[in-house]
Amino acid sequence: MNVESRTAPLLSRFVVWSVSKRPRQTTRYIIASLIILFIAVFRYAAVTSLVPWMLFMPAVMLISLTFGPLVGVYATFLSGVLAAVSMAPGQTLASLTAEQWVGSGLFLIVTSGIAVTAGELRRALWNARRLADETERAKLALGKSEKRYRSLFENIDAGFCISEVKFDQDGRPVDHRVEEANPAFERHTGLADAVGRYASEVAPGIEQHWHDAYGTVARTGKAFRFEGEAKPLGRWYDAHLFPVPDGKVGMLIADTTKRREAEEALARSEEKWRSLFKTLREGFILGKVIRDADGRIVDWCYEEVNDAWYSLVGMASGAVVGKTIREVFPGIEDDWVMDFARVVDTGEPIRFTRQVGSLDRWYEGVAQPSGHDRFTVIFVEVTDRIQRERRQAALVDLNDRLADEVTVSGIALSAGEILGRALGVELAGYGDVDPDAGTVTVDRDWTTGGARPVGGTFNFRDFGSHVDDLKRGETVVVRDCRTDDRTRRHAAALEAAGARAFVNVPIFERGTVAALLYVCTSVPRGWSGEDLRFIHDVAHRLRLAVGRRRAEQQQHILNEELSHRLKNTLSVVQAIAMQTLGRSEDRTAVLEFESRLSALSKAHDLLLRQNWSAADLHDVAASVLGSFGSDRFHLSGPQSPAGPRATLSLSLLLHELATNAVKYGALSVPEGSVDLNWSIRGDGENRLLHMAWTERGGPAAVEPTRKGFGSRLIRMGLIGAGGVELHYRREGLAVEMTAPLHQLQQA
Amino acid sequence: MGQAFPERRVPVLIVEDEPILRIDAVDMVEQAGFDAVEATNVEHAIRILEERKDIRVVYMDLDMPRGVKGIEIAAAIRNRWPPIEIILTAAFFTAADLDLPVRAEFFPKPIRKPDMIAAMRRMAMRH
Repeated sequence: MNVESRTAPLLSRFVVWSVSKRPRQTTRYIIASLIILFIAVFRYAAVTSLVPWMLFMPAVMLISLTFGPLVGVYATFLSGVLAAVSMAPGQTLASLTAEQWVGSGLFLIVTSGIAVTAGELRRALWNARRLADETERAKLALGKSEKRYRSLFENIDAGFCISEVKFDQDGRPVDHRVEEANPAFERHTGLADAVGRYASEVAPGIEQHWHDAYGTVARTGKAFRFEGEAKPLGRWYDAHLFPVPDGKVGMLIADTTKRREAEEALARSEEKWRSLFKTLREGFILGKVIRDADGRIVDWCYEEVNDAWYSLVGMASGAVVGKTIREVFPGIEDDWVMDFARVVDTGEPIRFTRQVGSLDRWYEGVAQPSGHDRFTVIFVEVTDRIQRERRQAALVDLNDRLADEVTVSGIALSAGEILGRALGVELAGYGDVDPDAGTVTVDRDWTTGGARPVGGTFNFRDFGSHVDDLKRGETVVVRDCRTDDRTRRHAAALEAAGARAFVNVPIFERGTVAALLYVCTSVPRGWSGEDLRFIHDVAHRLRLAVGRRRAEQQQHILNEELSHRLKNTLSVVQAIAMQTLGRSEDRTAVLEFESRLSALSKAHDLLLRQNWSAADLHDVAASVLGSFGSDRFHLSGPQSPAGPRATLSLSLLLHELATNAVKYGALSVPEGSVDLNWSIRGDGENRLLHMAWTERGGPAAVEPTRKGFGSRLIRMGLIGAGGVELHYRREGLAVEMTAPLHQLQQA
Repeated sequence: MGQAFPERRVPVLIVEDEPILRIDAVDMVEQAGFDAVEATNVEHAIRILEERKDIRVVYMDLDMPRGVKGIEIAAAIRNRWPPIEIILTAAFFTAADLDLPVRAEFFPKPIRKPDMIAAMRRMAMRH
């Protein structure tokens, strides 16, 4: 082995060298021939016949080694020929001895064998050399690769380890030992000296699922990836387990704690928002507008809505996403599309309060653009509030109307209309009830939408048994007359009257039902508490208004009766006076008496018209002076009320002045006239009414010598307390009268 | 005043249920130179009108409680005896409130007698 090992490299190097030279075949044969020739010449010259072939053998060996066995065999035969020639120079081969022929034959055979053997040796050496080279190259390559992987192993971010799994007797994985780990492994696990130790040592309490994962990979040979927590390390890992040779398990791990925390935080945050979104009582819509070919927005699509949306709109959950609003609400008001289109087009948020007519609900909210043809809407249902507001407004309206209406019938009609409009029903009204006869009498009621007005007297029994409830003072609420026990058998009659559903509120007077407020609609209706409260409220107001109006009518009748009796009594007084004073007495005095009585009566008339509260000054003057010929008086002055006392005293005063004017003053001649002017002077509490009676066109006024009743009446002034100045002028009488305005207006 | 009129006095039917007022009314028409014919209620008045064809003026108080609505009686008289002139009085109404029969005149109570007498004379002159 030693020799081999020493010579082999030299020999092989030579062979390698010769092979690597790769001379052409002819070159090889020429070189081989030259060598053999040279040896033959040398042998011929120096050596005799003794062992003539021996000299050729090393050369043939060398040639064979260098140029291959074929060239060797060629050199052998050439050597044999030349040796033979040199042994018998100048002679034929036949002259060779038998020994020489034998020797030559042996030489040829042996040397040929040597040549072949050397050729084989050459090939073997070459092959060995090549193999060695290849091995060397492979080694080099392997080393490079190993270096690369090692560097990767050392430098990758992921933690890497190779572990051996420990199974118990039952073949269950119970632990694993780390055999190799990269530096990143330490970073990811925080374990500095894990190599060579069991997981349960370095991380006591490590979860069984880690061992299980290792066991599975080791047993099945299949890679396995999972994300798991290592509580003892307080971390989460993304672990990639894969089999490595010898039944071991490699693991790549990445610490995902932070990512996971971030994800969890995100998830929590998302969960928070999602739960907010879900539990939000406000409805939420994410919508995307739909454009036509010209880019105009014609519709929009629900991309997302929250649960509140469904409850606020009253639809089954999940029925809307992906549909457009026009599909969901056929015939929806265009504003629901156009307003949100504007939000998308302008990028400006809007607030809205609007009704979906088909749902009969009101919504209020904000629509905001959210980019990419999308917008969000957050809204609440405000139907109740709107209804409340409308009903509030309706009640205010009702109060106004009730104050304006003069007749009970007008009040009933107004209340019916307001009630009907606010509740959205077709028929509403008010009727007088005769509880004994069991009838209701309706004058006029309010109807809309084709309902026939009810008019006339009806027997309750024709419509059901609910009159009994009414008599007890109970409000009758019928949601559907076909199903209500009280009305079921009379449903046809009720429906014919447009009362599929109705509410009757009895109105009591002195302990019995006196009237009825009714609200009817031609479709079944579940009257809400709000509805009923509103109806009751209207009924209450109606009752008060009707009561007030009836009281006023009563009052009016009483007033008229009183006035009637008063005037009748005055007539009787007049008649008695006439009869008492008799025919023989002063006729003038009797006539004056009559005339004064008449003036007094007229003053009463005026006051009656104002319910005995106050009369207008102008009316008082016109009424008294009218019987003296209205064209002779010129009245002017501001509107000013006069109380009952002032009305009476002013009437008598003006009557006296006019009577005097007819007898002695301006009115005693056809061209005379009287100006009556009044004005209010001063301010606040001290305001005075100033009235001037000025006669023109008549004879000069003369102060009377006798102070009769007439003069005294005049001197009593506007309120019976003086404040009168009389001027007897040449142009006629002028009277200046003043009185504090507030006294004048007192009762 | 009566002297200015012819000897045959024009009869005026006074329909008044209130005795004192009736007395006064009778006095009034007599002093004015008419012949007063008294009726205490509407039925009475109708009977008189049926009997006495010479009555040309009727003075009636609308406030008579037992009668049918006075104004309707007045209208009935106007229809049945078209030539008869009608003078009405009442405490309840003012002239403006009333749907007066054609040619009827109304004087609210308490009446000013000179006005009413003037009206009666105007009416009597028509015949």
